[in-house]
Amino acid sequence: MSNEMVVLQGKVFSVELQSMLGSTLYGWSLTGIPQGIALLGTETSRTTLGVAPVIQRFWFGAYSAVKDKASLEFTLVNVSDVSATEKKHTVSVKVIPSDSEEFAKLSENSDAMVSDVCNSMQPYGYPLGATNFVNMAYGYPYRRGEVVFKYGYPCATDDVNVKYGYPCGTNDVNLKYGYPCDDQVVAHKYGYPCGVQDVLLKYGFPCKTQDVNFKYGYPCGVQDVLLKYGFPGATEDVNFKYGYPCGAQDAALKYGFPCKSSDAAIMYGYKCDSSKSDC
Amino acid sequence: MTNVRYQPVTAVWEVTMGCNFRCGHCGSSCEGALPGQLTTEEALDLCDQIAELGLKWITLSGGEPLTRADTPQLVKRLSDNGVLVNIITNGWLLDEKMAKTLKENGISTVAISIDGTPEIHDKIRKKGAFEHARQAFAAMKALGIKTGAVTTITKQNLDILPAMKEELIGMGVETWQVQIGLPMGNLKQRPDWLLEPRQVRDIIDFCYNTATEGRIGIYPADCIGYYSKKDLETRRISYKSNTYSLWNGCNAGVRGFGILHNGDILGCTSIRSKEFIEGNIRERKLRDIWEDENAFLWRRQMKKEKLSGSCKKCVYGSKCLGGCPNTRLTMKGSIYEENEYCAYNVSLKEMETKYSSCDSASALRKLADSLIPQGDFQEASFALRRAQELEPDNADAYRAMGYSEFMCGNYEASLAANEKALKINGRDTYSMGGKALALFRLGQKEEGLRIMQEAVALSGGQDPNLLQDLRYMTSNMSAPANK
Repeated sequence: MSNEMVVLQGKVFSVELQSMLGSTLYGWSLTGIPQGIALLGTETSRTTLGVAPVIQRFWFGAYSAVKDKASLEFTLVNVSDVSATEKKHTVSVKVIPSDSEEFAKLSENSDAMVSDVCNSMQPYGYPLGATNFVNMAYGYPYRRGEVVFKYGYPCATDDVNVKYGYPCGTNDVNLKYGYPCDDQVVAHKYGYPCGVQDVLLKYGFPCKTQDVNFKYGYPCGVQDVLLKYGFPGATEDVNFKYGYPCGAQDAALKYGFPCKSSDAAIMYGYKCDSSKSDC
Repeated sequence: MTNVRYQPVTAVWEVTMGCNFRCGHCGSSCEGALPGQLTTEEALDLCDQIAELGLKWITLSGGEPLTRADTPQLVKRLSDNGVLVNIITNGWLLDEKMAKTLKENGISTVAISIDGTPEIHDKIRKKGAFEHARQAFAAMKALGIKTGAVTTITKQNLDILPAMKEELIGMGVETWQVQIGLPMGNLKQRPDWLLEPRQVRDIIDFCYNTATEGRIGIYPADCIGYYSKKDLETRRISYKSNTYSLWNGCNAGVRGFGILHNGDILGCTSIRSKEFIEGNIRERKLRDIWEDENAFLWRRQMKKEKLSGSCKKCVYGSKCLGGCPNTRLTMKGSIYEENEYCAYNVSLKEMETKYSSCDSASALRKLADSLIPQGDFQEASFALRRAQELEPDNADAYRAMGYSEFMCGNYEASLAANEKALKINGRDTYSMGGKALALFRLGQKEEGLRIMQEAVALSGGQDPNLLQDLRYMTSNMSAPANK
């Protein structure tokens, strides 16, 4: 299986995979992540009441553009026996530069979007109701234009791109907190298996396994990578601050993007010729 | 016929073209006073007309306004008439005595042009100019006059803006306006001084950082922008506002105007060629010129559709109308050209190229699907355009394109995309609705309405979106024509 995505640098994106994690203990794990993409979080949600597949959503942040396509690799793993893997799923990701978040959102057909500068959200394709308050534009009062059209954007995106699941009879599982589990094998609490002898989960992430310790969802205690707030830090050649390396000898970063480096000056996410004085 | 739709609030008056400096970047190439300068009597009468027209404040500039002996008189007349008077000077003649005179005559703010640290400033302007400015600031501070600095940014001083800031703060300057040096006057002969378009981002960054520091009020001029969040935040801080406001386009001929040394009235003193002169106060009263329905048409009738290049398809186009017209005129030769010094224009240029490296139409469509709900219509349009190149027969891409271009205000492009979608599926009511709306926006209201009614009928009257749009169109057609 494979899939392709184009994502914008600086934006959050998600990959949704379907599994029967609760009833089979087989769930998708992220097993390969390229540089420039960070795993921001995961969530699991049910597709319907009762015994049914669950959606595992992996949230990523693309914090730097990559020249070529990169791959996210997911493996269907038995969480009680991580050596037991079923199949892999690869998502090819092209991260392209973007500064769209730097600008205020606006559409003359949806003046409500002006308020984006205050971080409000626009419903999916529908302009919000217009308000009558008066804005000051550089000292001059002006009134927002009224919302003029409702032009509903077709919503037919199928976010679920992998379907994997074994039919599972309700006789095989007990439900606790809405998630299927089998008491005899795995005790589920808040949707995450716990109490398994060889995999201890804390906050939903396995920890104290032999080669990777997890804490709050981030590996920690690994010999060659120390993590602080989810980002590796205190390594020899790169210090991380707010998720972006800074103060490194060969790459000073500004706004998360390397700049003024001698071999590749990048500004606002775009490469520019460092030999030019304006770069 | 008169046009009373517009109420001016401010003006810039070049009281003389005479100047005691020969600055390397002077946009007016000022030297001696030019013939035809308004006499004191004419100028004082103009002061009365300015007040009668209802201006709130005015900026006296030049040339060097203090080389004109009666400038303090003009300040007094304006100020007595209730108009706030600001003056922009090089500071050379602004000694303690002049500062006191200006104060007594009711000056509001005095701004001195500062274009660098002492060494750079003197190199650009005149030896000893910085020291004169320093003493002038000190004199004004002693008298409690509000002070400001005005800086024209070129490659000569872009990198030293932080050092300049410290100098200004050290001199107690309260406000600082920065503007981009444009290729006009003396600066046209120095192309190596001109900024690269992308350097406008550095200016915005600098202004933002300065504003958030809060040590000096910084005011990016109208030639700097547009619509970056940093720019908005800078202006919000500077104008001490609690809300963000989006720039509404150039003030020229709409909320302000310019006056030349000889009484010529125009939209902006920087756009001064003959075709932009709307009249002369020696021939007509100021109010008659301002309210002439044929005056300032280049600005009052400016529309996004008249622009070219990236501005023509920009999501902000109908709001900013291309930004500073003088930037377009001096950089590209016409006020209808695109604005290369717009930070968003720089981004659009980058968007044009970056999507060419994507080769998966489905991935691009998916990207657009995620961008549209977030309001990133422009970016979505670029992604969809590339998707169409890769997959020219995909109706979904055209449908989405029809929507994203519509939301960008690009109705021709929206119409074209919807028509292509309909060519693939003639019974696609969504695209029919999109086509109807695009036509409606393009002024073909009857045809748009007809197609919308057809779409509603085809959907069996079950699509609430189509019904709402139909309702809007019919009510809009029965309402009085809006602008």
